[in-house]
Amino acid sequence: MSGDRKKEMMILFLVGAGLAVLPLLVGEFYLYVIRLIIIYAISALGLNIFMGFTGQINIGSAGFFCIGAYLSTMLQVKLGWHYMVAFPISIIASLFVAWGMSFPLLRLRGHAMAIGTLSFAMAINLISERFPSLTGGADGIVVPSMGLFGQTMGNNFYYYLILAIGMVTYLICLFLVDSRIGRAFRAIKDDEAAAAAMGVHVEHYKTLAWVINGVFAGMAGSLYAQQAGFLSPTTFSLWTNIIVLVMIVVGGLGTNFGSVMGSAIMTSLPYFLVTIQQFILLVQGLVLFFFLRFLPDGVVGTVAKHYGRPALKRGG
Amino acid sequence: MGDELLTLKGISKDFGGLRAVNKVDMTVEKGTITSLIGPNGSGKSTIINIITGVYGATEGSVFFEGKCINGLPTHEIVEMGIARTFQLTKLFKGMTVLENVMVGGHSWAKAGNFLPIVLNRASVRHEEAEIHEYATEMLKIAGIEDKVHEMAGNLPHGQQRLLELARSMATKPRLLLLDEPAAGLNPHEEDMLREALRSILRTGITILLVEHHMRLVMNVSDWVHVIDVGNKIAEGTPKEIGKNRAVVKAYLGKEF
Repeated sequence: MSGDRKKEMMILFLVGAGLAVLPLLVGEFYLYVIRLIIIYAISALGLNIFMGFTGQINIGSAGFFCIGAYLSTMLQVKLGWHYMVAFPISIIASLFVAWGMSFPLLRLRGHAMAIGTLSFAMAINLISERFPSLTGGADGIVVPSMGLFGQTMGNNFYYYLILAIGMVTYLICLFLVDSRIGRAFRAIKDDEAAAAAMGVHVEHYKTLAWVINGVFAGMAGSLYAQQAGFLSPTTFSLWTNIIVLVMIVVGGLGTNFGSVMGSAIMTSLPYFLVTIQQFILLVQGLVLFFFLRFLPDGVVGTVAKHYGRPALKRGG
Repeated sequence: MGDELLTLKGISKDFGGLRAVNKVDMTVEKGTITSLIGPNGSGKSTIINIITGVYGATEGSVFFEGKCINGLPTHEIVEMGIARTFQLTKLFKGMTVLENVMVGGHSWAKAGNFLPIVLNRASVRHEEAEIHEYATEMLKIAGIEDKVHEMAGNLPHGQQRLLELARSMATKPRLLLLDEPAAGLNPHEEDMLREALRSILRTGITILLVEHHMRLVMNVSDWVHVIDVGNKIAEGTPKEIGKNRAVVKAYLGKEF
């Protein structure tokens, strides 16, 4: 077991090192796509903890995207704070909002939970649109670029920031799922009554999974806004909710590596299909249909099953 | 009489207008296998569910090691030292056999909190090794240690029951509630179960056995309680119960 973990850490380190030298080798366009992949992967990893491992439903990721993005932006615009201060504060805010929303939302189950989380995202989205003096309203808001030591930070800085946070996020998920907490999550997914009979405080761990989901999504939202430089209510729409969900299904529910793979596939797909741009939604729909119908375990889940490696399925 | 580990005092349970359990008094002595028998629907599983905090009792109280445990949530009752198995197996089917048993370490392994885990602290790694070792030991007692890496859902029925036994043992209980563990076992698996029960008893764990399987009950029990339609109708040694008129009439059909 620890041998597996060592191997996973090695692979992770190599991938990280590879991504770190990439700015020397490829152009800005590829780096832009990789930034987006990592940002969505962070969010997908969080959603995967809540849905893939704990077996709950959340179609409201965009709500936390909005909170993270708008809060860190508004703190910079309205109060003139530095992003390195605004960013952690937006993360903490996501944590508290997730914790507060856990009381009404985690009492729900199945369809009701799906609708509840979706309504939460819609409400946050509406709030960001209806207070123009604060949020810029429907016209959107320009995100100030970040300065450090008297210099304005460019895309490469954001690339490394996003990469570092992505690595930390993945490492957290890796350690978490193969631990006492991860076992509690998976026990709740399989059978809540039996989990309680093993001494697992079911509500406590559902809340923890939900807060992790919210914090990761908030983090992703804030990073997205900062590197994009512009933010409007349409940045995180219903589509954001769905696409993160599609990512973890395509990659494989309940696998960390699958969340990253799903993000890579679904984020880069539109860029492969530039020539048939008007059919992108259709193609993405077909991809989802294909996976649900023929590969319900996702890319990583299917490979893991084929080679009979449950450890691969969990971690990386 | 020895020490009382578990005491039920005047326990009743109503489901709407239906009284499922009616003023049942019952004690389980430390270090024994005590059985609770009765016809289908007589309230045996309801009593298990009341003891483990799944249902609140309508009236009466439950004492475990002298402390009242009424109204406590299930996970706290487990931490106090009461574990259970289910009448219909409730395994974690998406986890391996070993992982299923390792979940049982949850109640006593306390180093595994969020921060220590994500910082990969040594205390957590040691505890993981400890849980791993203990879980393997429990699988040995249940006699299915050769199946550790199989998915729990792929085991045959009999081994699933044994796995559930091992899993509940992994919570380090002092009292083990077994809800019909012999249901659906073939004679060979039944022998394995009887062996497992004996070795569990040797480790100092008290067992409350809810069972229909009279051969097993008469064979292993030190003391038997009988309930019928929610009322307790008799208690005694297996020999006395086998000859008790009321019990024979309500349940056994013939003398045992």
